[in-house]
Amino acid sequence: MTMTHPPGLCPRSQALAVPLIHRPRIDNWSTLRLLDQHDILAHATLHSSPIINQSRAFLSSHASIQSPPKQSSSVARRVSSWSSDRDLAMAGETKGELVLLDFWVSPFGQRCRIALAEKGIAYEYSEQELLGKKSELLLLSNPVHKKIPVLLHAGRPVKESLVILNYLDDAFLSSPPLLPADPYARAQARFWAAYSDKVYEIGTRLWKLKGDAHAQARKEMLEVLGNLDGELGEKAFFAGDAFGFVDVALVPFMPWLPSYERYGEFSLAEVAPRVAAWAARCGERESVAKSLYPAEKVDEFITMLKKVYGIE
Amino acid sequence: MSSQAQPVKLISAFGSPFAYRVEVALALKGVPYELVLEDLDNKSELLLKHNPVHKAVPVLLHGDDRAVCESFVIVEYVDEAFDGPRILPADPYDRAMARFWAHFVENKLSKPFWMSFWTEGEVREGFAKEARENLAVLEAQLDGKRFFGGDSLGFLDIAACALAIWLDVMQEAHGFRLVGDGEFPALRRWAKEYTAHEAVKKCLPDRDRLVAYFVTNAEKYKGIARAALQQ
Repeated sequence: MTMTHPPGLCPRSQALAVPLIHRPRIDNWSTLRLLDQHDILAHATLHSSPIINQSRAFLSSHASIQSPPKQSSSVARRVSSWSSDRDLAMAGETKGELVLLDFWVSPFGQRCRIALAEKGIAYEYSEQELLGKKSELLLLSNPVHKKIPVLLHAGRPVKESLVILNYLDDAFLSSPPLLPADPYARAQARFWAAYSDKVYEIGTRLWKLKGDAHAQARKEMLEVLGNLDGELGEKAFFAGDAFGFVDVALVPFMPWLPSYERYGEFSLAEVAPRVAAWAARCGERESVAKSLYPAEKVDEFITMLKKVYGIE
Repeated sequence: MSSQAQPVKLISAFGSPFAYRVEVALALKGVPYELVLEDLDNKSELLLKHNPVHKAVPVLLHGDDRAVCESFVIVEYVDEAFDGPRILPADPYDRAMARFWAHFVENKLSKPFWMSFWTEGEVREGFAKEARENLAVLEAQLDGKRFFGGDSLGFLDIAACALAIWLDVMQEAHGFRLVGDGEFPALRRWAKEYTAHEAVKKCLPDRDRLVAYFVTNAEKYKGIARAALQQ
């Protein structure tokens, strides 16, 4: 079955529409995730050796991938390490199936997708119906919150995006860590990652509310973005030179910013110029480019939500 | 001087269950610390300098150049920076569960818990119902264990400390019973074990002083609740 490719999605990759391992209900572009050829190899179950051999054959025929540029994308990095025994060890570490219960536009789900991609961990993506009836699997896995993302690891659910990120670092020790090694640096990362939740919480109030409540939300948004800008400073990423925990936590909110800018009547480039530059920098990473949807799609989603909630 | 040996200061405020979490963590690790009590109506330079984002307690100062804010972040930092008994378990999945339930306590239980004491009438009933539902969920997590962490105090026990101590205090101070006498037997048993624990006893706030504090500040907290409801 052929699937249409929404304009503007994954602009950098030569997207090939490929059936997902766990095919969601195909009604329109919103329930599809398009994968390109790199992803077929990256996300296929690593512990089946024909796939590893196939991937090696593919890679050896693509010289440009084998000598990645200095600022290597996560895919190129994964690719160059596949010739080592490390990946086989890592394949063994994928103790059982990993399934991510998720919703295409969810920034919290995207945190997990980006983290899994950065760490080169294979998983099955499972799109969940959230606006209609929730699936049995979701309700069983997260009876407390009934929310995505949920990461099922050998059937055991891990819930809450930042808990999942911490879990990935704890459970997949031979994959590149998201958190730094030093306890104080880790504390800083945890603080700012949790703080980044505020962007979404306040942003939601910006498009939902009016009057004084809206003004209050705008004031808080400017303060939060300012604080994030100050914390980032002149560094390339929040922890320094390497893309890590805080970057993964915050970047999924970036496609929401243009909508927030419009509803809040402010400009990210003015309020938090360093964050704006950082967002562009992150967008060049394969893991980020493949996981995030363009701002226009996010804005359409917000407009749809407003209709659902009966908001003018 | 190794970083572990560097002096530790904890900026706290009397009555704060969030700061209390950190005290228990430090006591569990056997880390000596200086307690700096803030008057939150008149915040010190020290607090504002080291927590400019939230301007709240607790703040842990470790040596000259490390300031850690937010109680859960601080507890994890204490666990990682100092030797001593583990606060978070070793197994990755158990760690994830401890973190998940700690966030549940913070995000789902905390608000209705406090609000049920500081509001009235129908609004109060609404919060009380939500708090009790979530207390039931939490009680189920005890599942016959001595502590949430098993045989020893762990991250979730620390996160839930307000239930062990502040519940009775608030009920007395505000004359409102959130939890009936026979209810939540596992949580009651846990609270007894918890308050009898060495590390917890060391930093237990004086109960009478706590009650007096909440009685004196009742109007202030009711005002905070009203403002929060308007948002």
